[in-house]
Amino acid sequence: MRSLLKRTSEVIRASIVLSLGFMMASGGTAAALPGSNTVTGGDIVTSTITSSDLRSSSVGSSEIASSAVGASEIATGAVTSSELANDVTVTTLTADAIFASAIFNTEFLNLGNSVVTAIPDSGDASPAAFALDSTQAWAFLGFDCQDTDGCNVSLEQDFTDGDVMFVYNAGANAVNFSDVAEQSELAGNFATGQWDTLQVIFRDDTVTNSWLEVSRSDN
Amino acid sequence: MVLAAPSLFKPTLQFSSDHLTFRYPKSYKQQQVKVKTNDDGSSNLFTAIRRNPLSTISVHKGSTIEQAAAVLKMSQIDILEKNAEQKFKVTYAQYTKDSIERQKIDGYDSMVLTFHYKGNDKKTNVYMKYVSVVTNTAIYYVTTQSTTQQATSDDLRVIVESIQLDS
Repeated sequence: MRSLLKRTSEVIRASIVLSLGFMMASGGTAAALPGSNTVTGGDIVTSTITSSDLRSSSVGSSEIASSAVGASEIATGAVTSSELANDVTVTTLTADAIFASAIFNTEFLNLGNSVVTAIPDSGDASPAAFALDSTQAWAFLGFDCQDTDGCNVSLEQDFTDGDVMFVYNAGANAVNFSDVAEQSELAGNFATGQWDTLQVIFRDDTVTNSWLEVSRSDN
Repeated sequence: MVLAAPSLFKPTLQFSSDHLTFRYPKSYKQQQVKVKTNDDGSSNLFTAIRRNPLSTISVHKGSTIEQAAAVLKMSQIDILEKNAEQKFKVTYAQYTKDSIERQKIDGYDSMVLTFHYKGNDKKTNVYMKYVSVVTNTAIYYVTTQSTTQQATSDDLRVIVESIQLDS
C-alpha cells in the first residue's frame, strides 16, 4: 500500500512538471521581460499591429512620413473650410456660372485703374524696356518707371488705323520714346520727366504703318 | 434702408453693400456671397445670373482717377469713355458699338456704353451695357449682358432707377 501511494504521488508530480514544461514551451504563460523599453521592431511580427492596438489620438503629424497621405486616404467630404488656412479661398462655380461662362465674356476691365502701368526695374545698369502693344494700350496711359536708369518704351504696330494714344510720365524716373523710322515718327527722341505728355495717332494706310506724333508737352 | 420697387409688375430684390444699394430683377440668382478684392485694388461687389433668357449682371468698384484727369486736363468720364472705346474692341470678339450716352445716375456723372459682340461659343450675339459712375470717392462699374437686347435694357433700367450711392 505504501509503495502504491508513493508510486502514485511520483506520477502526479511528474505530470505536473510535464504540464508546466509544456505550457512554458507553447508560450501559454506570460513571463516578465528584463528591464523596460526592451521590445523593438524586430520583436514584432510584420502586419500584426492594427488600429485597435493603437491608443486613440496617439498618432500625430510627426509620426506621418512626408507625402505619405494622398487623396485616396482622405474620405470624401472630410476636408471642410475650417481645415483650410486663412489665406486660402475656395471658389465654387455654380452650374449657372459654368453655363453662362460658355457664352459671356465676364472679364472685368477696370477702366480707371489701368491708367497707370508700372514698368519694373531691369535689375541691371541699363534702362528697362517695355513694348506697348494693343493688348496693353489704353487711350490714356500713364507710365510709372521703377528703374532709376530710366525706361525705354517702344510703340508697337498691331493697332488700328486712327487709334490715338495720350501717354504721360506718372513717376519720377525718365520714360523715353524714340523717333524710329516707319515705326514711331516723332519730332525727335523724347525723354519725358514727370507729368510730361505725348500724344500720337496710328496710321495704317498705303503710305505708312506707324505712329505719328500729334503733340507733346514738357511740363 | 429699403428702396421702393420701381415697378409693381416686376418683382425685384435689393442688394446693399459698401455704400451701394440697388434693386435687380428677382429672376436672377446672386452668385457670390462675399465681396472679392482683386489684385488691382478693385472689388467685385455683386454678380448674378439668370437662365432664361440667359443674362448676367455684375457690379464692381474701383478707385477714382483724379490724378490722371488733372494731368490730362480732362474729366474722369472723358478718360473712361475713351479708354472703353480703345480697349473693348480688343477684348470683345466682333465688338460693335451701338451707342454711348452721358447721364446722371443718383446725381453723379456717368457713361453708358451699349454694344454687342460674339459670345465665347462664337455663335451667340451678346448684348451688353457697360456703365461707369464717378462719385467723389470711387468709380462704380455696372454691366448687364444678355442674349436678348430687350433684357439688357430692361434689367439695367431696374438697377439705374433704384441705385443709391453714398459718397
